[in-house]
Amino acid sequence: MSATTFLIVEDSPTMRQLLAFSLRRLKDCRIIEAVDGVDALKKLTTERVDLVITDINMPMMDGLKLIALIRGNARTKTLPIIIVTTEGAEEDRQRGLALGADAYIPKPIQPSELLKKVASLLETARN
Amino acid sequence: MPLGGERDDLSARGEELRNMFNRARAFTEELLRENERLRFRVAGLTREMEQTAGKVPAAASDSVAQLSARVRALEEERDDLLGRFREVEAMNRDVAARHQEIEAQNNHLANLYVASYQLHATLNFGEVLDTVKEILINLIGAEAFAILWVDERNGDLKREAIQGMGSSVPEKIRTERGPLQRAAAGEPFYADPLPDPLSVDVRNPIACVPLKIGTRVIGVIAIYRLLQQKERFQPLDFELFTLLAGHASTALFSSKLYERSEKKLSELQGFLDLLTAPSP
Repeated sequence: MSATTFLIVEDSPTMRQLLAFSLRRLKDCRIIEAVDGVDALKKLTTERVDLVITDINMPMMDGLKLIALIRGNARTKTLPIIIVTTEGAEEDRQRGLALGADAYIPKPIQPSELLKKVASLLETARN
Repeated sequence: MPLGGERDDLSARGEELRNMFNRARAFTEELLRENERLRFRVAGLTREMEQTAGKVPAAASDSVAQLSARVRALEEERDDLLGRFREVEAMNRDVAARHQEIEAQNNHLANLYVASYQLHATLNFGEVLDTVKEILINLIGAEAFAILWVDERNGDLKREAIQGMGSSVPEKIRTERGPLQRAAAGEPFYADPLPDPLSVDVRNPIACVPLKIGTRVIGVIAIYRLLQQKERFQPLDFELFTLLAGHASTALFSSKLYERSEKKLSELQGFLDLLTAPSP
C-alpha cells in the first residue's frame, strides 16, 4: 500500500511546519506543502494527493476559491478537504462546508483533534 | 288365624333374619379383611418411611454440604474476580488519563518545537517579527496585539508591530503604571477573568509578556483580544509565553543587531571602495 499523501496549503511557515509535524505522527505519510491556492492547484495537477488541509486567508488565491476549483474538477472532486483557519464564526464554518469542505477546524489547533479528523476522512474515502 | 299360617310367617321372618345375619357376617368379614389389608399397608408404609427417613437425609446433607462449599468457593472466586475487575478498571482509567496527559504533552512539545524552530530560522528582523506574529495568531489564538520595543533612553514603549488594532496603538506609550509598566519592568501579566473582548484599552492589555535577555527587558508583547473561538488562555499558552519571553527576545535582538552590522558593513565597504578606488 502506497503512502498517504497530504497537501498542506498555508501561507504561514509556522503553521505549515506544525501541521506537517502533526501529520508525520501517522504511518506512511508524504507531505506536500503549498503557500497559497495557486501553488496548491499546480501541485494537484502533478501529484497524487489523498487529503488537502487548507487555510482560508491566503494571498493570490484564498482557501474558499481553491475548494470551489477542487470540487469543480472531475479528477479531484471527491478529495477530502479540511479547512484550518482563524475564522471561527459559525457563518464562516457553514460557508466553508457549503463549498464542499469535509471538516472545519478553527485555530489554534489541537494536533490530536486534527489527526482524528484526518483518520476519519481517510477511512470514509477508502470505503 | 290358623297355626300353619303363623308358622309360615315366622319361618319367613327367620329366614330373612338369617339372611341379614349372613350378610352382616360377610360384611364384617370383608371389613376385617380390609382392615387387615390396611394395617399391612400402614406397616409397609411405616417401614418405607423409616427406611427413607434413615437414608435420604444423610445423602442430601452430604450434597447440601458439598453444594454449600461450592457456593462459598464460587462466591470467593466472584469476589476475587470483582476485585481484580475493579483493579483493572482503575488501571484502565489511569492509563486513559496518562494517555491524555501524554497526548497533551505531545501537543505542547509540537507547538513549542515549531515556535522555537521558526524563531531561530532566520536572521532577518522582519521575518522574525512575522514569526512572532504567526505564533501569536496561529498557536496562541491572539486576534489583536502589539509588539512593543523598550526605548533605552527613557523606558517608553515604541510600537514595533501591531495586528488587529487598526491605528489605535500610538507610536510611543509612556509606561508610568499599569500592566505595561509592570511588563516593562520584567513582570508578566495575565488578566483573569478576561474582560469584555469588545472593550480594547491600549493601556490595559489582557496579557503582557516581557521580552527579556537575561534580566534586561528589551520589549513587551501586549495582547488585547483573543480569536472569537478562544475563550481563555490554556496551559500551553503560558508555556508559549515563556518561550516567547526568552527566545523571541534573543531572536528579535540578534536579528536587529545583525541587520545593523550588515548595514554598517556595507557602509564601511562603500567607504573602503571609495578610498581604494584608483584616482581618475
